[in-house]
Amino acid sequence: MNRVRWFETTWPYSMRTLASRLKEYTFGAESSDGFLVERVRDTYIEGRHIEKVMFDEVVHDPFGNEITFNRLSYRQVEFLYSAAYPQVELRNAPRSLQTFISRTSEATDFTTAFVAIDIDTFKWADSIRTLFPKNFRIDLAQLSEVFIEADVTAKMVLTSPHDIRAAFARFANRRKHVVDRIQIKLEQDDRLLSLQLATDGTLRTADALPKEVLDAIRGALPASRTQP
Amino acid sequence: MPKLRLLYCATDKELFDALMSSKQHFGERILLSLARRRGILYSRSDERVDLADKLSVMTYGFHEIRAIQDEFERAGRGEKTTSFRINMELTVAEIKEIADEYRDAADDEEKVVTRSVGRAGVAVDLKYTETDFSKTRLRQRQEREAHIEFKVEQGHTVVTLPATEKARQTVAALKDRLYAKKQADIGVEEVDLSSVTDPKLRTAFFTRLITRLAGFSLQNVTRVKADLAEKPEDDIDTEENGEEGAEEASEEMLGVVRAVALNGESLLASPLYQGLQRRGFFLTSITWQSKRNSLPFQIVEFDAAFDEPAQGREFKYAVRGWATQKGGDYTKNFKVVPPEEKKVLLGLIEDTAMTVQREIKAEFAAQAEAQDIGPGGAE
Repeated sequence: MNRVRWFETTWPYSMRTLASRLKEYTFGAESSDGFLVERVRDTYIEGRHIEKVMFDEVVHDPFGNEITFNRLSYRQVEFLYSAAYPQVELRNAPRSLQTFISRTSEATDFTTAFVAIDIDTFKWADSIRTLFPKNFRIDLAQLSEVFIEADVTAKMVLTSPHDIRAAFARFANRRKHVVDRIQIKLEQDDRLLSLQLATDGTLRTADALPKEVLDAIRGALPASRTQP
Repeated sequence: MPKLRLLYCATDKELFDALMSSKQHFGERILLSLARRRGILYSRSDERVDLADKLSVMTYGFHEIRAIQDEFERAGRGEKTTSFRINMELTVAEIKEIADEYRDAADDEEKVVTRSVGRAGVAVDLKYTETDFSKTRLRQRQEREAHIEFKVEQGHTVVTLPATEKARQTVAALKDRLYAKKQADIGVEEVDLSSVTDPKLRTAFFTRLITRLAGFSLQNVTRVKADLAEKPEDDIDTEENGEEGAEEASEEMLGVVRAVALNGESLLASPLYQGLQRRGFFLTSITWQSKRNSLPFQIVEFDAAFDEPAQGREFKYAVRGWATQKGGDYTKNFKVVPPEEKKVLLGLIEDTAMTVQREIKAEFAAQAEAQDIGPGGAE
């Protein structure tokens, strides 16, 4: 599963200055974590944050002996920092982002805040449809807090081999509900792609998306309903 | 004539009050185990108040009462340390001499023991009775301990002490004796930001402290307290402004937040904290976690704060605990750090805090100087 998530922030510096500050925290052979900045432009920075995880693993053999192994692994976050909205893009981030957030925060003298976005997924899908209209459909919608009656709510998934929008509109009409995520299908270069769009600005796909598709989807991201 | 030992008798009401006064010390489990020690089994579903009620009417001997009091006297994990530097190398003999003088002058309620720590250190262990009349009767007199340590380093002597009133009083008395003995300024240097009025620099003290601990890298900030920088009050010319001015001033007092405490994860990168910082709030207390950069890579939780937050005085700090790795993941709970390790970590905060405060003070002085010679400054 390929996962991309967007956040909003206000950078205190230009992208070039930010890049040079990130470079002060470059990941090296001796560091426990740091950045590897790969591309710097006036409008964006692309790179990775790497955290070295080392620990001792103790194994007991059947004769009661204890063997200790040094284990080493690396946790990586691919990031794209942009001057314009959405300012932060994280690709395949690990569950815990604390070290990465702390280090970015440190590099900016604790003047940045990553703000989770809250977007209208149907609006996002509409913008994507204008870019990739071929065979476009929304074939799944996951809803929660659907009002059934007083003090009774439901979680539900609407699915169809066709487009669910009309059915969704009829069902959700004047009924309280929250859309958690939707799934869209579209055709690009004779390939059928399936994308899941979540309200918190997360995009999930089975495989990594071609660069131009990812760029288009990022560009189609509607403004967040929360303000940073 | 030998001094009479203080005698008291604990009534059932006092015992009940003591048991009920702190849920932290006497939760249901502890109360059940107190009863079990007497061979009585109560139900686990009994209410705490009922358990305390039943336990308080039993017969207690001196040692049983002491056991209850000991629970309250145990120093908590949250005990904070404070320190200062004497900018001269004292000798072990000198320190012992003033400590002995202090011991001879101390009253009967206080027990002072001095001992050497390593080659260049002296510890003054203090046992005293603390009286607090605001507490329930059995807790009013509590025996406390304070461990004060003098460590002679190159060019200076570091004094560490618990951040309690008594320890501070004792150290002040020791300092006075030292002044008298040396008949000269002993050059005391402590972390004190009262002269630094720039909120940004006050905050920078904490952010630099948490990022500059040698051998550690910052992981998380879980608790912060922030105060609003108070603008120096302008003299309102009442005659000129009349009642209107006064009304305006009183309106300003409505709905004003002066201090906030935040609790969470990666707090310095949270929008709420950023908003506060922009509005002129500065940090006065911080709890953070840092990862050791070498094996076994523990995550240590530290704490640093000013006892007088608005003034930036009476700096105190603590090592709250550490999380160790188990199969690549960290334990959820922070365990108590062994005393020897704790000492090293506390020394690390002391050293970093001292370096950072010198920097902050120098930057503030440079700022003030630039303002003085800048346009609009004093001629």
